Amino acid sequence: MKRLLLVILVGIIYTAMLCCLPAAFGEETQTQERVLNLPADEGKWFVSVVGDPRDQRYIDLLAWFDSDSTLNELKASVHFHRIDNTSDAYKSRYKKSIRSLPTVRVQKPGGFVVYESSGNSIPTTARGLSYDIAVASNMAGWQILRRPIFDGRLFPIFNRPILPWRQRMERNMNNCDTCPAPVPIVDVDVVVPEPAQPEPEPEQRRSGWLTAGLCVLCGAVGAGLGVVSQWKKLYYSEG
Amino acid sequence: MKRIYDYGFVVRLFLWLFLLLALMAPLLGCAERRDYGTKIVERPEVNIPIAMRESNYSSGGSCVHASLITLLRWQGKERLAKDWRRDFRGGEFARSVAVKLDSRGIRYAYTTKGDVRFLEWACRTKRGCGITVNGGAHMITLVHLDAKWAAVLDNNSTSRFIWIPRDELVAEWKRSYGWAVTPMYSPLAPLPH
Repeated sequence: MKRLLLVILVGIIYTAMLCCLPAAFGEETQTQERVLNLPADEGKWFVSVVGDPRDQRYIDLLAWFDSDSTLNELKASVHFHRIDNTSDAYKSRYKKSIRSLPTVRVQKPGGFVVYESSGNSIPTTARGLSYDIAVASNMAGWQILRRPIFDGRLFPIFNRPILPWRQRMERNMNNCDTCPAPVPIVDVDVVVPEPAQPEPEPEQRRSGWLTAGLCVLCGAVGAGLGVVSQWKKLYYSEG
Repeated sequence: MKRIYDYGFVVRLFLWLFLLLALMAPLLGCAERRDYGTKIVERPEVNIPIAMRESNYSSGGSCVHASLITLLRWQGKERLAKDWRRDFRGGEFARSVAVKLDSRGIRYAYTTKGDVRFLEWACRTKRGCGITVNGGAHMITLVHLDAKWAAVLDNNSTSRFIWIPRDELVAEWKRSYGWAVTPMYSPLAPLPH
């Protein structure tokens, strides 16, 4: 009887082991895809707020990004990071480039710093900060100003600061009559949608020297013409 | 003939020219910009600093945990990484890791079907991901994937990135059950320039 029970027990253990064995690294009897729709957010900008967690100004600054509607909208639209000066992230990637604390830094996806203010240069109000970031963003997108999205308005920053995420939002709102309803994606392995916020193709940096050279050339030609004109007056004037 | 010396004309001309250039300087990119002293393009794309890399930390092998901890730190979740390091160790499977991630409320994505688009997405969005190698017996962190090359960070030797031809790495990954996993938070900002 004992032997029979032992055999049954061994059988149960053996069966249980058979069930568990396939669960080696990465191999499973019933693998299942978890995420269906991956965010294509490689075009998002980065906002880093860096500071000493014991500093009240830093704490207030962080609070602005929750309390102020514009800054809150910005926070939700970008990769937002709170970087304490005690963290490894600060020591290894921020410390060398930070002048003073606290610091607010806005970067394009490629790392280009669009806006940075630190210490006493940080605006004293949330509204001031959001306006400064808006102006800097528009200035950084100077090439964008030449595209038709502004409908010929040359300097929208002087009318009303329109941040990049607002521009997209407003464009979408204006065209929403034809927007299709979102369709849930089901039973798909991995879906990588087209970038929602594609980073603009890096434009060839305008050669400042070339343009400056052209200006100097034009100036030289003008000067030459002037000299010729004066020369004629000098030697060919009557009297 | 009467000589007329009008030097004022030339002086005025150059003054106007100087003023024009001064006004155009910001448009031409000549405005003073701070030099951050960093390269414009970071390679690998997921340039995890040494201080944020977690080594394989238990005798039974915690390669999956080490990879996840490294990625959590890179994605700005140092507290979560610290807790994970404290609470978990030993070998893992795709499903058991999913359960643990769920239990901690961590947002994540994974595939076990060897879909290379997942790897491309993870590197393109600068998140990186853990991938299986050695027939599924080991997990390392993928930090770069372009048309020709891939770079990985092996938690058994975290001092340097290892560069491998893309096709070679993808083939090895697919032979190793094609499991890849990553947390889904914001990667750290690129180095400023």
